[in-house]
Amino acid sequence: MDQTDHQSDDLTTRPFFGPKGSGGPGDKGLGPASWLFSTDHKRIGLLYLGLIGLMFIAALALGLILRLKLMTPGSTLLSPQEYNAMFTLHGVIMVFLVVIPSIPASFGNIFLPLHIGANDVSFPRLNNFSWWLYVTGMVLAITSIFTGSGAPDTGWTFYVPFSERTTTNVSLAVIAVFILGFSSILTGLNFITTVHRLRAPGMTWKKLPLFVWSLYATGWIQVLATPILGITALLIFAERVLHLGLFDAARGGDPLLYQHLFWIYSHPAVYIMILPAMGVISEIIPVFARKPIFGYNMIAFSSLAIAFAGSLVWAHHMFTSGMSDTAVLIFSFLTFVVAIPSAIKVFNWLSTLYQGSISLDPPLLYALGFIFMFSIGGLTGLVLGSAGTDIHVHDTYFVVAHFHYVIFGGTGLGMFAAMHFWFPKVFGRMYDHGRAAWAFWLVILGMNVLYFPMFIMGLQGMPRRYYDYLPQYGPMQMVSTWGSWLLAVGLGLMFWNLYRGSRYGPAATKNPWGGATLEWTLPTPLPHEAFEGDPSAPEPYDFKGVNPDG
Amino acid sequence: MSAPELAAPQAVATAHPGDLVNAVASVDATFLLIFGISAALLLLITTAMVYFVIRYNRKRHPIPADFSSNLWAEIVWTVLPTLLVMGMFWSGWHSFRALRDAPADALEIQVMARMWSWDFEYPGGKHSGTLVVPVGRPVKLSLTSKDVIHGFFAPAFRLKIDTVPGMTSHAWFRADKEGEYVIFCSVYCGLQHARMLSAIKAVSQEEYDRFLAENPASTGPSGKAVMDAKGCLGCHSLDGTESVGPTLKGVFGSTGVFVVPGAKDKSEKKLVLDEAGLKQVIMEQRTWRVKGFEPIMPGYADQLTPEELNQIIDFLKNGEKADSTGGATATATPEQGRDLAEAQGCLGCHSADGSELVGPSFKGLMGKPSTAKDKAVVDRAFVQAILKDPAARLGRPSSMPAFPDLTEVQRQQLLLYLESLGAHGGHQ
Repeated sequence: MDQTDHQSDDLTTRPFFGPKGSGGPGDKGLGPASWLFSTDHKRIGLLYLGLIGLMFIAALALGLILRLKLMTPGSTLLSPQEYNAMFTLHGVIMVFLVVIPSIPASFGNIFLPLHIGANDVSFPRLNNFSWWLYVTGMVLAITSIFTGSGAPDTGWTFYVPFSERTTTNVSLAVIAVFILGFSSILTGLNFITTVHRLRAPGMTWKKLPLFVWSLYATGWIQVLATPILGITALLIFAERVLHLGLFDAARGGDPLLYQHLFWIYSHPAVYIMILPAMGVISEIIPVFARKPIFGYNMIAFSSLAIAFAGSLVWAHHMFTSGMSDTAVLIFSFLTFVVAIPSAIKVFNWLSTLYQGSISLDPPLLYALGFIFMFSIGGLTGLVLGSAGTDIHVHDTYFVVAHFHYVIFGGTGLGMFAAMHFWFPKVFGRMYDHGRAAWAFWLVILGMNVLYFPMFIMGLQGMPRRYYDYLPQYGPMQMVSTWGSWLLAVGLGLMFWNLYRGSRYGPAATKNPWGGATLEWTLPTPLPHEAFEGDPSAPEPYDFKGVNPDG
Repeated sequence: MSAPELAAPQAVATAHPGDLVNAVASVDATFLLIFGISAALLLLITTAMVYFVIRYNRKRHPIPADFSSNLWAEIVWTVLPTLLVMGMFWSGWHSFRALRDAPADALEIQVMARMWSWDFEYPGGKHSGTLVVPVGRPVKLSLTSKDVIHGFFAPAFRLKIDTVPGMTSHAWFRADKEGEYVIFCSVYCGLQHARMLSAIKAVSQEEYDRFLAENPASTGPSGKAVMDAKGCLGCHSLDGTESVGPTLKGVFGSTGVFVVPGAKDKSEKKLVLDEAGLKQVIMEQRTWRVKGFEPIMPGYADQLTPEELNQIIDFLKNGEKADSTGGATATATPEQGRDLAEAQGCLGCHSADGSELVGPSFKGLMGKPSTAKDKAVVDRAFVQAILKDPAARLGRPSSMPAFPDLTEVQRQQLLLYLESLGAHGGHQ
């Protein structure tokens, strides 16, 4: 790399996060505007990653405070109103600002174009606009906490009629959700178009990395389901401001209508959260097993199957709502159907490991953690899909545990796996592997100590969203809080290790893990412009002749 | 918080063999089935994962095998999970049916949820805040809500059903063992959601009968309906305004001043309008003329049955909803007001001891400047207006529901209760 050469083809070697030219006076490649208004998918991905990380830490802190409050029964630490506002914020921030954008907006933005041999997404300016919508939604959501007559206290589900009656600042919060929805829709739209239009010559659908397949399926859910969330959020706003009475039984409305509208989006949203993580796992496992992914077609197809069937199961959140028993029958059946493609994926990942040549590096460790946690989350989901048993555990800690196993143990660990996998490619440096492993074991232990007791409490009838509880739940609540501390220590160690790696870590090589997808053919760290001309499409899981160079 | 027993009732041989499914046992069987299969699958997945990572470690197994599909394996792990989940689905549906299909002979109880308490209405009209049921008898619940969505959750009976305003939902259970079983609110409903607890008290049939008899409730059409039908309300208002005849507001227990027609000395008679007094005035109208009003009221001796008369007296005495407050006496008392405040759920938001909950504490509330837009002082008229339409009186949105169904007597009881808690500034 000739640092004295300032020609434009320099863009294919200089790090994308550095200056475009020499970095001297007049070079506009590094100022704030070059980031905030960047149309470069890699910079936008990093911008997302930074804000998502910030929001994650904020909502994590809220979660730790909630756990601390719940350590002992009685009125301690928080007032009931503060508690209610805090679990609402924990949920709203985690769901809408962290988990939904997490992998697609950050690693999806960075690696989806590279995976298909493109230099950017189809609509780079729209991509930047999506990020600004995210920022706007974030600012409004935070504003809603500190303005008006108090932070929203409805829970992230905004159930009517409570959300219409409460005097807290719900109106602003639903507007924030509305705007965040558009950020998600536009990202999905961008990804779908990019996959259709910008694949390099020879990059056939069957040569797409599975990460791309998962983002493609996710994109369709984002585009088709999120508008319903937008409508629903606006309807709450209209109900509160104009008093339309759509959901108000006294004026001929129907509170259950709201629940249907809400879950028509929010159940598919769970697949927006989990599919990209599954895509990451499908990338990582073959690389570290040095073996082609088992059942490529089935995994790609199951992503689409989950996206489709997952759109038809929303009312399994409503078995106790008072809707008709026939609806319960149908939605319970469809829910069990969705379980099948998820099971297939897990078996395919295991078969990829079988007779591989496995190196237990940090990314694989996190990926295996995903499989374990997601299996528990998925299997306990069967209890919730089954009509008779759901009645007992619905709206209890069992659901809280199930959801956190799937979303934190699943999407969260998937995100962390992606961070450890692509870290050297993005930052050009390597983190400490030993510390990463330590952090992993602390995180996985912490998660299980934190969430597993909730399964037991849920089965014993402990309802969720309770400020206080009967003394019989005391011991389990106590253990759960200890788990939250373990988890916090583990996450702290992980973030610190990554931060140190990004600043002081040894320079990373071009292909430290021996990946066969296109991003590993590019310089490390990634340059401003990825490809000169069209790259030839590789077999993404053919490791013959591809070896780790680190 | 108290800790009622959470234990599941023991499965008892049913008195209606074949007819009655034991829903709890059915649900628990599904739990067992799903947990059993899940545990086996989790063990399989985790063991395989750990084994592969050790057995095919790069040091031990440097050259990976090269295969990426196996049709039979994929067919097996598509078909097998499909069969398993269909089995689970069927078992779950079956137990759901057991929870839903109430036996025909079930005792029907109405449930009203509100922020943040429960009200149970038994056949015959008796109300209570805890659910008292006879042991061994199926109980069918018809549930609704007064304000927001709540959830009736009785873990011991694996029973949960949302209560939705404007809609009636149903559920049933049967307690096979005497005892106390906790009721939670399962759907988040605001500030005191975690305190919206109650209990199912399963008692013997005799004790249940005694409980029902404690406070017999009125039956048949209400006295108000009778008065409406007989035209009484055309001349007598219920809200304190005078029209053709004197108002009936607060008439019970008051002392009426009457003139005796035909008497030369225009002498006045005083009569305490208790049960006997009112009956006398209504039935012997020709001899009782209220001072200051035209003597135009007809006699009702031949128009009212004794039962209808009793209903009217009952209404004038207790008001429409009085039976829910339990044993109203001749005049409103602060104690009745307190009971009413508890039964209506007022105390969920308004404390009686000065502590701030959602709304202002009742203690020392009278005479205090309000939080209404016009900063009006809380007086009797203010409280009356708030009870009718909180948002309108406050001039801002409020989470307090309106209580338009309260009778005048009940409102008076509440006011007396408020006044008994002291006025602003400390003077009693």
